Amino acid sequence: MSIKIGEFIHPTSVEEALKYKGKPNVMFVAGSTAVGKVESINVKKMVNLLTLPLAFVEKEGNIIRIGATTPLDDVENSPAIKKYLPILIDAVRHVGAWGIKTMATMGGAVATAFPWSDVIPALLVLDASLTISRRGGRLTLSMEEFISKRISMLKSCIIEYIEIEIPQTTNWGFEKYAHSSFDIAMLNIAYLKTEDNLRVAVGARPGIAKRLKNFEKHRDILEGVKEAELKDDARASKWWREQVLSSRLKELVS
Amino acid sequence: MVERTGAIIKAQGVGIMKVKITVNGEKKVFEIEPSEKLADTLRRYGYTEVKIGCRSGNCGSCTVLLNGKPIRSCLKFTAQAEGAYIETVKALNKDGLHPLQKAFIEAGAVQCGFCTPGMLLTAKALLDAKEKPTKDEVKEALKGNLCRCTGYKQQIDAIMKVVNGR
Repeated sequence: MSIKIGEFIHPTSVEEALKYKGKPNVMFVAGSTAVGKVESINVKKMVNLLTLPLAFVEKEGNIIRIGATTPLDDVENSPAIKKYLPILIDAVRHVGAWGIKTMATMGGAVATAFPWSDVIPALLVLDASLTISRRGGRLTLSMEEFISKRISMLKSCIIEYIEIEIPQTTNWGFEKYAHSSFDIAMLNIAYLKTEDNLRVAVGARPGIAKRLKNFEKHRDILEGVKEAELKDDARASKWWREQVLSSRLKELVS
Repeated sequence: MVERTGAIIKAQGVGIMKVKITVNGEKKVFEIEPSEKLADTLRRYGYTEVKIGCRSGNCGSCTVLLNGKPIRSCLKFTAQAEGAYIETVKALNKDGLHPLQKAFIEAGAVQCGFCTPGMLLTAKALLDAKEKPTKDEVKEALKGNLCRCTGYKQQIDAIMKVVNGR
């Protein structure tokens, strides 16, 4: 791995950081855990997002806001999240090692949207929204919308915080299937169930996590498995993923 | 580019910057290249107790404590550690061996020793955060510190001995 950086910039406000968006040879970094996966970096400026005042967890009414630079370890240990969003605790608990969770940030988990992410399926079933800043002002959009547009959006935007309405149910679950507790997922499933509403998201398909909206509507297991668009990869076969998902969906509708 | 000059390998080239970091209680000013990782800076300035294994955040050998929490110093840009309080394994035995170090020796938890600094620092962070962690919590905390000699039993036994003695 070869890394060449001309200068490190430490902005103290989102407005200051935004000045560097869209400029050539500029890269942004927060927790830096994804750096180990990059083959080479050669940039004139590296903008440090950790100096922005975006590391917070706050509750306002029935809304929880999590700042983009909040480390996953702080999320896992947040009393408000433990009390109101335990599904997110379960998802974060399953992310790699402690020494990674103290560095990796919520904003980074969303921005990178790694296919094996444990955080994204949980955020999808929680119907989380993102507030992002760009030169024209702030914008709020759903997780799904952000994921589909994130490559182009990240060229001009900075994620400020994730907003989640506290769900009125205790019937939820997050399941990670992996070779070991330290490994990335072969499949992960998040669900949230109320009397008349079911939300299901599947990750490590091996593509980026997605909500199974047709399944949620029709409760048809075959349709749900098809909708997940599962595939083979080195970690697990399409067949294995289909068997596990099918079995879990059956339990969810029973 | 780096050049070895005596005990310290000096950074050279365009964009050299100074970073103030407290290491094991001592305030330091490090001259670094903006691309330098914390593990490399620490080792360059003589903190060779910081071990580098995989350079991808997987093995945990490079673990140091940043403001009391374990991090992978092979991934962390030194420039992002400005103003931080860093502890390497040498912070543990300033006044004789730390109870964790004694327990590791007594339990035979060290073979080649390469993973030991990371293991000890992760265990210290856990015991600083929790008075009486359970065996499962110890296992969970250590799961990202890989050891290819011992099979983990001795380290977990050593940490539990310290926990049970509290």
